Amino acid sequence: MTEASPSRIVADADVLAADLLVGGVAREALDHVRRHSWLTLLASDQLLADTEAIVAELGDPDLAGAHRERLESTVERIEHPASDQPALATAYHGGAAHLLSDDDSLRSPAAGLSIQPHADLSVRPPDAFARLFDPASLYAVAVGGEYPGPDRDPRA
Amino acid sequence: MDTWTELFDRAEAYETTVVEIRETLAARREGDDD
Repeated sequence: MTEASPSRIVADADVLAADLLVGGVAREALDHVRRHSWLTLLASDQLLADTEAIVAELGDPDLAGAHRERLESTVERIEHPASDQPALATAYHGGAAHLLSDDDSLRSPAAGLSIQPHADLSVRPPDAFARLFDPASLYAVAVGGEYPGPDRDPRA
Repeated sequence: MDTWTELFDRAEAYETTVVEIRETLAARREGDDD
């Protein structure tokens, strides 16, 4: 098992798609990640494929492809067994401490994973993550020292 | 490659809801389980 790091974050496909297609709390949550270079967003091929399929169906295939290209340039790629729930498995194998999802079932013990995630994985809906995100305390744990403020344009 | 701002501008036209996204993902993952 990979040890969890507070700077490593997974967003399930519903949150990644909502960031693009809806905005709102999903975009607010992922803007927190995009504006800090010391935070790492993780994703697997399965997670990116789920996201692309949602965007292609509710938007269009060109937009889905462009979104996937942008995500691929942003995320750290994680591999996991194809049969596992993509978001949970990415968090487990990638050592993430935060998983953003609107899927209530992921917060239950029987979450469709062949292996159980580490105990310190926090599964939250994006509104809770956005509301509770405290970059100064997270920076102190993940990097150390005084929080210097945002260091990236979240919309670049 | 598009910036996030360009992608968000393109996506706005579809007026998608969170409910539609949840239903689409659930249907896709249920299909994977078959």
